Amino acid sequence: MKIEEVFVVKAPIQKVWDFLWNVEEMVQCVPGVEGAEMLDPDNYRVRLKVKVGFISASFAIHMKVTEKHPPRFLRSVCTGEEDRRLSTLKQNNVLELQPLADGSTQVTLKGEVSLFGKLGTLGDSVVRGKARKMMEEFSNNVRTKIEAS
Amino acid sequence: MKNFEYLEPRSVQEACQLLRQHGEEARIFAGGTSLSIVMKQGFFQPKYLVNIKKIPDLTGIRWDPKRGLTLGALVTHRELETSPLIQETFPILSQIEEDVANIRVRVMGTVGGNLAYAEPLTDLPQILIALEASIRVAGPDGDRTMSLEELFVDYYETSLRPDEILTEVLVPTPPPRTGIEYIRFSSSSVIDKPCLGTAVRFTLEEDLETVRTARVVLGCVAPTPLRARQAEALLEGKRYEVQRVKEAAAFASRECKPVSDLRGSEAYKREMVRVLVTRAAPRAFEKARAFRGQV
Ligand SMILES: Cc1cc2nc3c(=O)[nH]c(=O)nc-3n(C[C@H](O)[C@H](O)[C@H](O)COP(=O)(O)OP(=O)(O)OC[C@H]3O[C@@H](n4cnc5c(N)ncnc54)[C@H](O)[C@@H]3O)c2cc1C
Repeated sequence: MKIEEVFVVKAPIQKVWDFLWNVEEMVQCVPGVEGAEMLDPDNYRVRLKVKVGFISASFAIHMKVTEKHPPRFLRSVCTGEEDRRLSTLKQNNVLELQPLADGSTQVTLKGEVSLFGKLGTLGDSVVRGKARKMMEEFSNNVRTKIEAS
Repeated sequence: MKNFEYLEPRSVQEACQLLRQHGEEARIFAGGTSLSIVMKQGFFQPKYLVNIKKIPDLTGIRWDPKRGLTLGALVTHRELETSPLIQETFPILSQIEEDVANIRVRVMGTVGGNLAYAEPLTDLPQILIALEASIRVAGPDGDRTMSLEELFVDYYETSLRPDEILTEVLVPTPPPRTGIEYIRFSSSSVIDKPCLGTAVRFTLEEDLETVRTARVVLGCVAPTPLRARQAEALLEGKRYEVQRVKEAAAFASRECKPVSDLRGSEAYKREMVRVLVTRAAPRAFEKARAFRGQV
Protein backbone atom coordinates (compact mmCIF):
# COMPACT_ATOMS: atom_id res chain seq x y z
CA MET A 1 0.00 0.00 0.00
CA LYS A 2 1.40 3.36 -1.05
CA ILE A 3 0.63 6.60 0.71
CA GLU A 4 1.81 10.04 -0.26
CA GLU A 5 1.51 13.30 1.64
CA VAL A 6 2.66 16.69 0.37
CA PHE A 7 2.67 19.67 2.69
CA VAL A 8 4.30 23.04 3.05
CA VAL A 9 6.11 24.18 6.18
CA LYS A 10 6.61 27.90 6.71
CA ALA A 11 10.32 27.56 7.48
CA PRO A 12 13.57 27.46 5.48
CA ILE A 13 14.76 24.10 4.21
CA GLN A 14 17.69 23.84 6.64
CA LYS A 15 15.43 24.29 9.64
CA VAL A 16 13.04 21.62 8.36
CA TRP A 17 15.92 19.25 7.68
CA ASP A 18 17.42 19.80 11.12
CA PHE A 19 14.09 18.91 12.70
CA LEU A 20 13.60 15.81 10.58
CA TRP A 21 17.15 14.60 10.99
CA ASN A 22 16.75 14.69 14.75
CA VAL A 23 15.10 11.29 14.33
CA GLU A 24 14.30 10.66 17.99
CA GLU A 25 12.33 13.93 18.04
CA MET A 26 10.83 13.50 14.58
CA VAL A 27 9.30 10.09 15.25
CA GLN A 28 7.43 11.55 18.22
CA CYS A 29 5.25 13.21 15.56
CA VAL A 30 3.93 9.78 14.56
CA PRO A 31 0.69 9.29 16.50
CA GLY A 32 1.08 6.40 18.95
CA VAL A 33 4.88 6.49 19.29
CA GLU A 34 5.68 5.73 22.92
CA GLY A 35 9.45 5.97 22.83
CA ALA A 36 12.46 6.12 20.54
CA GLU A 37 16.07 5.28 21.14
CA MET A 38 19.09 5.92 18.92
CA LEU A 39 21.35 2.89 18.44
CA ASP A 40 23.66 4.79 16.10
CA PRO A 41 22.89 7.77 13.84
CA ASP A 42 21.43 5.47 11.18
CA ASN A 43 19.58 2.98 13.41
CA TYR A 44 16.74 3.55 15.87
CA ARG A 45 14.47 1.50 18.06
CA VAL A 46 10.90 2.80 18.20
CA ARG A 47 7.86 1.65 20.18
CA LEU A 48 4.52 2.25 18.52
CA LYS A 49 1.04 1.63 19.87
CA VAL A 50 -1.77 1.63 17.34
CA LYS A 51 -5.35 1.77 18.51
CA VAL A 52 -8.30 0.83 16.34
CA GLY A 53 -11.43 1.21 18.40
CA PHE A 54 -11.17 -1.08 21.42
CA ILE A 55 -8.33 -3.08 19.91
CA SER A 56 -4.76 -1.98 20.35
CA ALA A 57 -1.50 -3.40 19.09
CA SER A 58 2.03 -2.48 20.17
CA PHE A 59 4.93 -2.83 17.79
CA ALA A 60 8.67 -2.94 18.41
CA ILE A 61 10.12 -1.28 15.33
CA HIS A 62 13.63 -1.05 13.97
CA MET A 63 14.14 1.98 11.78
CA LYS A 64 17.16 2.11 9.53
CA VAL A 65 18.20 5.15 7.53
CA THR A 66 19.39 3.79 4.21
CA GLU A 67 20.15 6.93 2.22
CA LYS A 68 20.48 10.62 3.03
CA HIS A 69 21.40 13.75 1.08
CA PRO A 70 21.10 16.71 3.45
CA PRO A 71 19.08 18.86 3.33
CA ARG A 72 16.85 17.33 0.66
CA PHE A 73 16.42 13.59 0.83
CA LEU A 74 16.03 10.89 3.44
CA ARG A 75 15.19 7.24 2.80
CA SER A 76 14.45 4.83 5.62
CA VAL A 77 13.03 1.40 6.17
CA CYS A 78 11.08 0.28 9.22
CA THR A 79 10.52 -3.33 10.21
CA GLY A 80 8.54 -4.31 13.24
CA GLU A 81 6.80 -7.05 15.10
CA GLU A 82 3.66 -6.85 17.19
CA ASP A 83 4.28 -7.75 20.84
CA ARG A 84 2.02 -10.80 20.76
CA ARG A 85 3.54 -11.84 17.42
CA LEU A 86 0.21 -11.40 15.71
CA SER A 87 1.57 -9.32 12.89
CA THR A 88 4.70 -7.91 11.34
CA LEU A 89 5.04 -4.71 9.41
CA LYS A 90 7.42 -3.27 6.91
CA GLN A 91 7.44 0.30 5.76
CA ASN A 92 9.66 2.04 3.22
CA ASN A 93 9.75 5.81 3.57
CA VAL A 94 11.09 8.59 1.43
CA LEU A 95 11.19 12.21 2.58
CA GLU A 96 11.95 14.89 0.01
CA LEU A 97 12.38 18.58 0.79
CA GLN A 98 12.14 21.34 -1.75
CA PRO A 99 12.71 25.04 -1.07
CA LEU A 100 9.96 27.32 -2.36
CA ALA A 101 10.36 30.85 -3.70
CA ASP A 102 8.69 32.41 -0.64
CA GLY A 103 11.26 30.88 1.72
CA SER A 104 9.06 28.02 2.89
CA THR A 105 9.68 24.33 2.25
CA GLN A 106 7.60 21.70 0.52
CA VAL A 107 7.81 18.28 2.11
CA THR A 108 6.87 15.16 0.17
CA LEU A 109 6.45 12.05 2.22
CA LYS A 110 6.06 8.73 0.42
CA GLY A 111 5.39 5.60 2.36
CA GLU A 112 4.85 2.01 1.33
CA VAL A 113 3.37 -0.02 4.15
CA SER A 114 2.89 -3.78 4.30
CA LEU A 115 1.19 -5.43 7.24
CA PHE A 116 1.32 -9.21 7.48
CA GLY A 117 -0.53 -11.50 9.87
CA LYS A 118 -3.71 -11.58 11.85
CA LEU A 119 -4.35 -7.86 12.30
CA GLY A 120 -5.46 -7.89 8.67
CA THR A 121 -8.68 -9.52 9.95
CA LEU A 122 -9.84 -6.06 10.95
CA GLY A 123 -10.17 -5.37 7.25
CA ASP A 124 -7.87 -4.34 4.51
CA SER A 125 -9.53 -0.94 4.14
CA VAL A 126 -9.27 -0.34 7.89
CA VAL A 127 -5.52 -0.99 7.92
CA ARG A 128 -5.05 1.26 4.92
CA GLY A 129 -7.38 3.95 6.22
CA LYS A 130 -5.63 3.95 9.58
CA ALA A 131 -2.18 4.18 7.95
CA ARG A 132 -3.34 7.08 5.81
CA LYS A 133 -4.74 8.88 8.83
CA MET A 134 -1.53 8.37 10.79
CA MET A 135 0.49 9.82 7.93
CA GLU A 136 -1.81 12.87 7.79
CA GLU A 137 -1.46 13.41 11.53
CA PHE A 138 2.30 13.01 11.28
CA SER A 139 2.45 15.70 8.59
CA ASN A 140 0.32 18.05 10.66
CA ASN A 141 2.44 17.49 13.75
CA VAL A 142 5.69 18.06 11.87
CA ARG A 143 4.41 21.30 10.41
CA THR A 144 3.03 22.61 13.69
CA LYS A 145 6.16 21.75 15.67
CA ILE A 146 8.59 23.33 13.21
CA GLU A 147 6.49 26.45 12.75
CA ALA A 148 6.11 26.86 16.51
CA SER A 149 9.84 26.53 17.22
CA MET B 1 -8.01 -17.94 23.29
CA LYS B 2 -7.07 -16.81 26.80
CA ASN B 3 -9.20 -17.65 29.82
CA PHE B 4 -11.79 -15.10 30.85
CA GLU B 5 -14.46 -14.85 33.47
CA TYR B 6 -17.97 -15.18 32.13
CA LEU B 7 -20.59 -12.97 33.76
CA GLU B 8 -24.31 -13.29 33.22
CA PRO B 9 -26.25 -10.28 34.53
CA ARG B 10 -30.06 -10.50 34.61
CA SER B 11 -30.79 -6.79 34.23
CA VAL B 12 -29.44 -3.83 32.29
CA GLN B 13 -28.48 -2.05 35.52
CA GLU B 14 -26.56 -5.07 36.77
CA ALA B 15 -24.74 -5.29 33.43
CA CYS B 16 -23.79 -1.58 33.56
CA GLN B 17 -22.50 -1.96 37.11
CA LEU B 18 -20.32 -4.90 36.06
CA LEU B 19 -18.95 -2.87 33.17
CA ARG B 20 -18.20 0.05 35.46
CA GLN B 21 -16.56 -2.23 38.03
CA HIS B 22 -14.25 -3.95 35.54
CA GLY B 23 -13.61 -1.03 33.17
CA GLU B 24 -11.41 -1.73 30.16
CA GLU B 25 -10.99 -5.37 31.18
CA ALA B 26 -14.63 -6.18 30.48
CA ARG B 27 -16.57 -6.39 27.25
CA ILE B 28 -20.21 -6.93 26.39
CA PHE B 29 -20.90 -10.19 24.63
CA ALA B 30 -24.13 -10.49 22.64
CA GLY B 31 -24.27 -12.92 19.70
CA GLY B 32 -20.50 -13.17 19.72
CA THR B 33 -20.24 -13.38 15.93
CA SER B 34 -17.76 -10.51 15.75
CA LEU B 35 -16.20 -10.55 19.19
CA SER B 36 -15.33 -14.25 19.14
CA ILE B 37 -13.29 -13.71 15.96
CA VAL B 38 -11.03 -11.03 17.45
CA MET B 39 -10.72 -13.05 20.65
CA LYS B 40 -9.76 -16.22 18.79
CA GLN B 41 -7.24 -14.31 16.71
CA GLY B 42 -5.70 -13.16 19.98
CA PHE B 43 -5.75 -9.41 19.56
CA PHE B 44 -8.45 -8.78 22.08
CA GLN B 45 -8.26 -10.57 25.40
CA PRO B 46 -10.82 -9.32 27.88
CA LYS B 47 -10.68 -10.60 31.44
CA TYR B 48 -14.45 -10.47 31.77
CA LEU B 49 -17.15 -11.17 29.24
CA VAL B 50 -20.49 -9.69 30.19
CA ASN B 51 -23.06 -11.81 28.37
CA ILE B 52 -26.23 -9.74 27.94
CA LYS B 53 -28.25 -12.44 26.20
CA LYS B 54 -30.17 -13.35 29.36
CA ILE B 55 -31.57 -9.84 29.88
CA PRO B 56 -35.23 -9.96 28.87
CA ASP B 57 -35.55 -6.16 28.58
CA LEU B 58 -33.22 -6.16 25.59
CA THR B 59 -35.34 -8.43 23.42
CA GLY B 60 -38.34 -7.98 21.20
CA ILE B 61 -39.69 -6.08 18.23
CA ARG B 62 -42.51 -3.64 18.96
CA TRP B 63 -44.56 -1.42 16.72
CA ASP B 64 -46.65 1.55 17.70
CA PRO B 65 -48.19 3.60 14.88
CA LYS B 66 -47.32 6.83 16.71
CA ARG B 67 -43.86 6.03 18.11
CA GLY B 68 -42.74 3.77 15.35
CA LEU B 69 -40.64 0.64 15.53
CA THR B 70 -38.61 -0.40 18.56
CA LEU B 71 -35.96 -3.05 18.19
CA GLY B 72 -34.42 -4.49 21.33
CA ALA B 73 -30.63 -4.61 21.09
CA LEU B 74 -30.75 -8.42 21.15
CA VAL B 75 -33.02 -8.73 18.11
CA THR B 76 -31.11 -10.91 15.67
CA HIS B 77 -30.61 -10.41 11.96
CA ARG B 78 -32.72 -13.52 11.45
CA GLU B 79 -35.60 -12.08 13.45
CA LEU B 80 -35.54 -8.94 11.30
CA GLU B 81 -35.55 -11.11 8.22
CA THR B 82 -38.46 -13.32 9.23
CA SER B 83 -40.66 -11.19 11.51
CA PRO B 84 -44.13 -10.72 9.99
CA LEU B 85 -44.32 -7.37 11.80
CA ILE B 86 -41.15 -6.13 10.08
CA GLN B 87 -42.27 -7.52 6.75
CA GLU B 88 -45.48 -5.55 7.12
CA THR B 89 -44.10 -2.23 8.43
CA PHE B 90 -40.47 -2.01 7.27
CA PRO B 91 -40.09 -4.59 4.48
CA ILE B 92 -36.82 -2.88 3.46
CA LEU B 93 -35.24 -4.35 6.60
CA SER B 94 -36.36 -7.92 6.04
CA GLN B 95 -35.40 -7.75 2.36
CA ILE B 96 -31.85 -6.59 3.05
CA GLU B 97 -31.39 -9.11 5.83
CA GLU B 98 -31.64 -11.94 3.31
CA ASP B 99 -28.29 -10.75 1.96
CA VAL B 100 -26.53 -9.97 5.23
CA ALA B 101 -23.63 -12.30 6.08
CA ASN B 102 -24.65 -15.98 6.13
CA ILE B 103 -27.36 -17.87 7.95
CA ARG B 104 -25.12 -18.76 10.92
CA VAL B 105 -24.18 -15.12 11.53
CA ARG B 106 -27.79 -14.00 11.02
CA VAL B 107 -29.11 -16.44 13.58
CA MET B 108 -26.64 -15.37 16.27
CA GLY B 109 -25.69 -11.79 15.40
CA THR B 110 -27.73 -9.00 16.94
CA VAL B 111 -28.78 -5.53 15.86
CA GLY B 112 -27.08 -4.05 18.94
CA GLY B 113 -23.83 -5.85 18.11
CA ASN B 114 -24.00 -4.84 14.47
CA LEU B 115 -24.21 -1.16 15.44
CA ALA B 116 -22.00 -1.10 18.54
CA TYR B 117 -19.13 -2.91 16.85
CA ALA B 118 -18.91 -0.01 14.35
CA GLU B 119 -17.24 -2.14 11.74
CA PRO B 120 -17.08 -0.17 8.51
CA LEU B 121 -18.40 -2.90 6.17
CA THR B 122 -22.01 -3.32 7.28
CA ASP B 123 -25.50 -2.70 5.94
CA LEU B 124 -27.96 -1.86 8.69
CA PRO B 125 -26.54 1.56 9.69
CA GLN B 126 -27.14 3.10 6.26
CA ILE B 127 -30.81 2.10 6.17
CA LEU B 128 -31.46 3.03 9.78
CA ILE B 129 -29.76 6.42 9.47
CA ALA B 130 -31.73 7.15 6.29
CA LEU B 131 -34.90 6.42 8.30
CA GLU B 132 -33.68 8.79 11.06
CA ALA B 133 -33.37 6.11 13.70
CA SER B 134 -32.19 6.88 17.19
CA ILE B 135 -30.80 4.64 19.90
CA ARG B 136 -31.37 4.33 23.61
CA VAL B 137 -28.35 3.83 25.75
CA ALA B 138 -28.28 2.77 29.39
CA GLY B 139 -25.48 3.57 31.81
CA PRO B 140 -24.97 3.30 35.56
CA ASP B 141 -26.23 6.87 35.93
CA GLY B 142 -29.33 6.51 33.77
CA ASP B 143 -30.49 6.41 30.17
CA ARG B 144 -29.93 8.71 27.23
CA THR B 145 -31.15 8.85 23.66
CA MET B 146 -29.14 9.94 20.65
CA SER B 147 -29.47 9.81 16.90
CA LEU B 148 -27.88 6.70 15.43
CA GLU B 149 -25.64 8.90 13.34
CA GLU B 150 -23.97 10.21 16.49
CA LEU B 151 -23.01 6.69 17.59
CA PHE B 152 -20.29 6.26 14.97
CA VAL B 153 -16.95 7.94 15.63
CA ASP B 154 -14.26 6.04 13.71
CA TYR B 155 -13.33 2.54 12.60
CA TYR B 156 -14.61 0.22 15.37
CA GLU B 157 -15.14 3.23 17.62
CA THR B 158 -18.42 4.57 18.99
CA SER B 159 -19.50 7.35 21.30
CA LEU B 160 -20.65 4.79 23.89
CA ARG B 161 -18.82 5.00 27.19
CA PRO B 162 -17.22 1.75 28.37
CA ASP B 163 -19.97 1.18 30.95
CA GLU B 164 -22.88 1.90 28.61
CA ILE B 165 -25.14 -0.53 26.80
CA LEU B 166 -27.11 0.10 23.66
CA THR B 167 -30.57 -1.06 24.68
CA GLU B 168 -32.94 -0.17 21.84
CA VAL B 169 -33.12 1.16 18.33
CA LEU B 170 -36.08 3.42 17.61
CA VAL B 171 -37.18 3.90 14.01
CA PRO B 172 -39.82 6.62 13.74
CA THR B 173 -43.00 5.98 11.79
CA PRO B 174 -42.20 7.10 8.26
CA PRO B 175 -44.07 10.26 7.25
CA PRO B 176 -46.63 9.87 4.44
CA ARG B 177 -45.18 9.72 0.93
CA THR B 178 -41.88 8.18 2.03
CA GLY B 179 -39.87 5.69 0.02
CA ILE B 180 -36.45 4.14 0.59
CA GLU B 181 -34.15 2.04 -1.54
CA TYR B 182 -30.98 0.33 -0.43
CA ILE B 183 -28.48 -1.16 -2.84
CA ARG B 184 -25.92 -3.49 -1.39
CA PHE B 185 -23.02 -4.19 -3.67
CA SER B 186 -20.38 -6.89 -3.20
CA SER B 187 -17.52 -6.87 -5.63
CA SER B 188 -16.04 -10.28 -4.79
CA SER B 189 -18.89 -12.66 -3.97
CA VAL B 190 -22.49 -12.14 -2.92
CA ILE B 191 -21.88 -13.57 0.54
CA ASP B 192 -18.91 -11.30 1.14
CA LYS B 193 -19.24 -8.23 3.29
CA PRO B 194 -20.45 -5.32 1.20
CA CYS B 195 -18.01 -3.31 -0.90
CA LEU B 196 -20.58 -0.51 -0.86
CA GLY B 197 -24.02 0.10 0.57
CA THR B 198 -26.12 3.01 -0.60
CA ALA B 199 -29.43 4.11 0.90
CA VAL B 200 -31.59 6.79 -0.67
CA ARG B 201 -34.79 7.94 1.01
CA PHE B 202 -37.30 10.52 -0.10
CA THR B 203 -40.32 12.03 1.58
CA LEU B 204 -42.39 13.95 -0.93
CA GLU B 205 -44.72 16.92 -0.68
CA GLU B 206 -48.43 16.39 -1.37
CA ASP B 207 -47.92 17.15 -5.06
CA LEU B 208 -45.93 13.89 -5.27
CA GLU B 209 -43.30 15.73 -7.30
CA THR B 210 -41.38 17.87 -4.83
CA VAL B 211 -38.83 16.35 -2.48
CA ARG B 212 -39.45 17.46 1.11
CA THR B 213 -36.73 15.32 2.71
CA ALA B 214 -33.84 13.52 1.05
CA ARG B 215 -31.39 11.19 2.71
CA VAL B 216 -28.38 9.79 0.91
CA VAL B 217 -26.42 7.53 3.23
CA LEU B 218 -23.28 5.75 2.09
CA GLY B 219 -21.67 2.77 3.75
CA CYS B 220 -18.18 1.24 3.46
CA VAL B 221 -16.68 4.38 1.88
CA ALA B 222 -15.45 6.13 5.04
CA PRO B 223 -14.50 5.07 8.56
CA THR B 224 -18.17 5.52 9.53
CA PRO B 225 -21.47 5.51 7.66
CA LEU B 226 -21.63 8.80 5.83
CA ARG B 227 -24.50 11.12 4.96
CA ALA B 228 -23.84 12.79 1.62
CA ARG B 229 -25.16 16.13 2.85
CA GLN B 230 -24.41 18.13 -0.28
CA ALA B 231 -26.27 15.60 -2.37
CA GLU B 232 -29.20 15.76 0.06
CA ALA B 233 -29.26 19.57 0.00
CA LEU B 234 -29.29 19.59 -3.77
CA LEU B 235 -32.38 17.37 -3.87
CA GLU B 236 -34.41 18.84 -1.01
CA GLY B 237 -37.14 21.41 -1.61
CA LYS B 238 -37.06 20.92 -5.39
CA ARG B 239 -38.93 18.94 -7.98
CA TYR B 240 -37.57 15.47 -8.49
CA GLU B 241 -35.69 15.49 -11.79
CA VAL B 242 -33.40 12.95 -13.39
CA GLN B 243 -30.76 15.56 -14.16
CA ARG B 244 -30.71 16.73 -10.54
CA VAL B 245 -30.32 13.15 -9.34
CA LYS B 246 -27.31 12.80 -11.61
CA GLU B 247 -25.77 15.93 -10.11
CA ALA B 248 -26.53 14.74 -6.59
CA ALA B 249 -24.91 11.38 -7.35
CA ALA B 250 -21.80 13.21 -8.57
CA PHE B 251 -21.75 15.17 -5.30
CA ALA B 252 -22.06 11.97 -3.27
CA SER B 253 -19.20 10.45 -5.21
CA ARG B 254 -17.02 13.42 -4.28
CA GLU B 255 -18.19 13.60 -0.67
CA CYS B 256 -17.23 10.05 0.25
CA LYS B 257 -13.74 9.02 1.35
CA PRO B 258 -13.15 5.50 0.14
CA VAL B 259 -9.87 3.66 0.59
CA SER B 260 -8.46 1.36 -2.09
CA ASP B 261 -8.50 -2.22 -0.90
CA LEU B 262 -9.05 -5.77 -2.09
CA ARG B 263 -12.69 -4.97 -2.88
CA GLY B 264 -11.83 -2.13 -5.26
CA SER B 265 -9.73 0.96 -5.84
CA GLU B 266 -10.70 4.37 -4.51
CA ALA B 267 -11.62 5.55 -8.01
CA TYR B 268 -13.74 2.46 -8.64
CA LYS B 269 -15.65 2.93 -5.39
CA ARG B 270 -16.30 6.60 -6.12
CA GLU B 271 -17.66 5.69 -9.52
CA MET B 272 -19.83 2.96 -8.01
CA VAL B 273 -21.24 5.41 -5.47
CA ARG B 274 -22.27 7.62 -8.37
CA VAL B 275 -23.85 4.68 -10.19
CA LEU B 276 -25.67 3.33 -7.14
CA VAL B 277 -27.11 6.68 -6.05
CA THR B 278 -28.33 7.23 -9.61
CA ARG B 279 -29.95 3.80 -9.53
CA ALA B 280 -31.42 3.94 -6.05
CA ALA B 281 -32.98 7.41 -6.32
CA PRO B 282 -35.68 6.69 -8.96
CA ARG B 283 -36.71 3.54 -7.09
CA ALA B 284 -37.00 5.45 -3.81
CA PHE B 285 -38.98 8.15 -5.61
CA GLU B 286 -41.43 5.65 -7.14
CA LYS B 287 -41.86 3.94 -3.77
CA ALA B 288 -42.59 7.30 -2.13
CA ARG B 289 -45.29 8.05 -4.71
CA ALA B 290 -46.86 4.65 -4.12
CA PHE B 291 -46.56 4.88 -0.29
CA ARG B 292 -49.14 2.78 1.59
CA GLY B 293 -47.84 3.16 5.14
CA GLN B 294 -44.82 0.87 4.88
CA VAL B 295 -41.26 1.39 3.65
C1 LIG C 1 -18.69 -13.67 8.25
C2 LIG C 1 -19.42 -12.40 8.61
C3 LIG C 1 -20.10 -11.73 7.61
C4 LIG C 1 -20.78 -10.54 7.93
N1 LIG C 1 -21.46 -9.89 6.94
C5 LIG C 1 -22.18 -8.79 7.25
C6 LIG C 1 -22.95 -8.13 6.25
O1 LIG C 1 -22.99 -8.53 5.10
N2 LIG C 1 -23.65 -7.02 6.62
C7 LIG C 1 -23.66 -6.57 7.91
O2 LIG C 1 -24.34 -5.60 8.21
N3 LIG C 1 -22.93 -7.17 8.86
C8 LIG C 1 -22.20 -8.26 8.57
N4 LIG C 1 -21.48 -8.88 9.53
C9 LIG C 1 -21.44 -8.29 10.88
C10 LIG C 1 -22.54 -8.86 11.72
O3 LIG C 1 -23.70 -8.17 11.47
C11 LIG C 1 -22.13 -8.65 13.17
O4 LIG C 1 -21.15 -9.61 13.37
C12 LIG C 1 -23.20 -8.89 14.17
O5 LIG C 1 -24.36 -8.18 13.98
C13 LIG C 1 -22.63 -8.54 15.55
O6 LIG C 1 -23.60 -8.89 16.50
P1 LIG C 1 -23.22 -9.80 17.75
O7 LIG C 1 -24.45 -9.83 18.58
O8 LIG C 1 -22.71 -11.13 17.30
O9 LIG C 1 -22.07 -8.95 18.42
P2 LIG C 1 -20.88 -9.42 19.37
O10 LIG C 1 -19.87 -10.13 18.54
O11 LIG C 1 -21.41 -10.12 20.55
O12 LIG C 1 -20.35 -8.00 19.79
C14 LIG C 1 -19.76 -7.12 18.86
C15 LIG C 1 -19.30 -5.86 19.59
O13 LIG C 1 -20.40 -5.07 19.99
C16 LIG C 1 -20.42 -4.90 21.41
N5 LIG C 1 -21.84 -5.00 21.78
C17 LIG C 1 -22.71 -5.99 21.43
N6 LIG C 1 -23.95 -5.70 21.84
C18 LIG C 1 -23.87 -4.49 22.47
C19 LIG C 1 -24.82 -3.65 23.10
N7 LIG C 1 -26.12 -3.98 23.18
N8 LIG C 1 -24.39 -2.48 23.63
C20 LIG C 1 -23.09 -2.10 23.55
N9 LIG C 1 -22.15 -2.87 22.95
C21 LIG C 1 -22.53 -4.04 22.43
C22 LIG C 1 -19.53 -5.98 21.96
O14 LIG C 1 -18.93 -5.60 23.15
C23 LIG C 1 -18.51 -6.13 20.86
O15 LIG C 1 -17.51 -5.14 20.95
C24 LIG C 1 -20.78 -10.05 9.26
C25 LIG C 1 -20.08 -10.75 10.25
C26 LIG C 1 -19.41 -11.90 9.95
C27 LIG C 1 -18.70 -12.63 11.06
